Amino acid sequence: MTDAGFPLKAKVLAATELMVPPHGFSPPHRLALVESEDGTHNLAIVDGELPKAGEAGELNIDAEHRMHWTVRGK
Amino acid sequence: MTVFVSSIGIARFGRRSEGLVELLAEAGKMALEGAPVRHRAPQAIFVGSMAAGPLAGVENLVPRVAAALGLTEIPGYRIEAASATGAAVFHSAVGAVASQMFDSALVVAGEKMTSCTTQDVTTVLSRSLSPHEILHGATMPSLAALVSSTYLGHYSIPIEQIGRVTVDNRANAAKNPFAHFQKPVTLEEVNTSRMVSTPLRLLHVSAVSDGAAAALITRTGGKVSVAGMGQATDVLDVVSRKDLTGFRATRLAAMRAYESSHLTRKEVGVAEVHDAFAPFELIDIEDLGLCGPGEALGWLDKGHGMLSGSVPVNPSGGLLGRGHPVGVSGLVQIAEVYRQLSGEAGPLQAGHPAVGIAQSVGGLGSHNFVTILRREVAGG
Repeated sequence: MTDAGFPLKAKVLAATELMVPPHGFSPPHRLALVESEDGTHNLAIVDGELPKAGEAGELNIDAEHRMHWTVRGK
Repeated sequence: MTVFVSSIGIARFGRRSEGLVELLAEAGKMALEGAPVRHRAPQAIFVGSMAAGPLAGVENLVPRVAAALGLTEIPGYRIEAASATGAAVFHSAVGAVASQMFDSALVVAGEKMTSCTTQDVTTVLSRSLSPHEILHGATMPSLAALVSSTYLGHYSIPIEQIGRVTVDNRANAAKNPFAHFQKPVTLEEVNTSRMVSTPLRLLHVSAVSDGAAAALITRTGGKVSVAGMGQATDVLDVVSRKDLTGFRATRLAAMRAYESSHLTRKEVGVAEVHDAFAPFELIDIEDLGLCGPGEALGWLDKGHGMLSGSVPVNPSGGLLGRGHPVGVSGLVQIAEVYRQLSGEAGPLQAGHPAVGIAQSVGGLGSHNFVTILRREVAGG
């Protein structure tokens, strides 16, 4: 997957809000299992409120090669 | 070649003042002293600990434990398989004895965790996850939460109904002198405990603990024999697995264990399963084939998993009640199945089972083990 392919449309399959994240991350740390439009599954950091399963949004990648999921249009 | 469990030892789980080597020696000594005199000089020692260095500040465990037990000069090995280390060290030792490399071996596994902060423990345990997941700040509880949400969502099970797993296991643990938790909890306490990683609350999650376990195995008789073993690996990246309603590595390990034992799930009379997180007990029960997919909660509701049920599940209290010193859990499950099969489980004795199964999850389902033990007609 190349950076040029982003953003991708991606649907949340499951999401969680972690209260005690590892060093380097701030609580609450939100993570989601998402399915992108090409059918692949990815782990992504959620930017924003905790989404529900089935919610649609966009998947981006940051300079550290971390995936970020946001509600579409936000 | 049949391998027998001659005796077992358990160093009480909980917050212990002793160091890791002392805990390992306590369990090993108990196993040696509980064995017939002819079995008290094992030819080898197999030691398991997932993270002795990072969590307990000690390495090179084999000579230390051997010396503490008066066994210096015998050969030894240290084995690691993340949170299934205890099962892995048992399987390794059984393989060595079955192959006639040794006539007998002492298997010990231990972990010392309570000296570290929860955040430090979380960071150390996270090292068994994939680099991609670590990069995203994932931890064992957060990935377990995603797996749990997937399972619960797929079968439309409210998380509030899962609390019964903790209630049942803590009730059993309250009767187990080796368990970390000696008090039962109510469903309300579970469902109002503080959130760890949604939807998992504190009382859905097994506790950081200290402890050790041991088993003395031989080729020359014992009350219990090793009927079958299986293990399997899976990709580290949890989210890249096609099906998160179960652990493929457990299903494969169970299939291999049943095949090697020439037994079926219908003959299993007691089970110790890896309930590191309460929903995992349901997944484990289904992965072992004790009931069909999505049926575990109903199966438990019908009482099948109770002490008086058809297949008592986690009569020891499981990881939720006994505590989860990570490198030990796989071996103490085997020790608890031994106690059931040999009729030595005291107030937790679940009838008189002839066959028992122990199932251990390494990492987040990436290296899983299943062990089947059988009661022998006469004690060795």
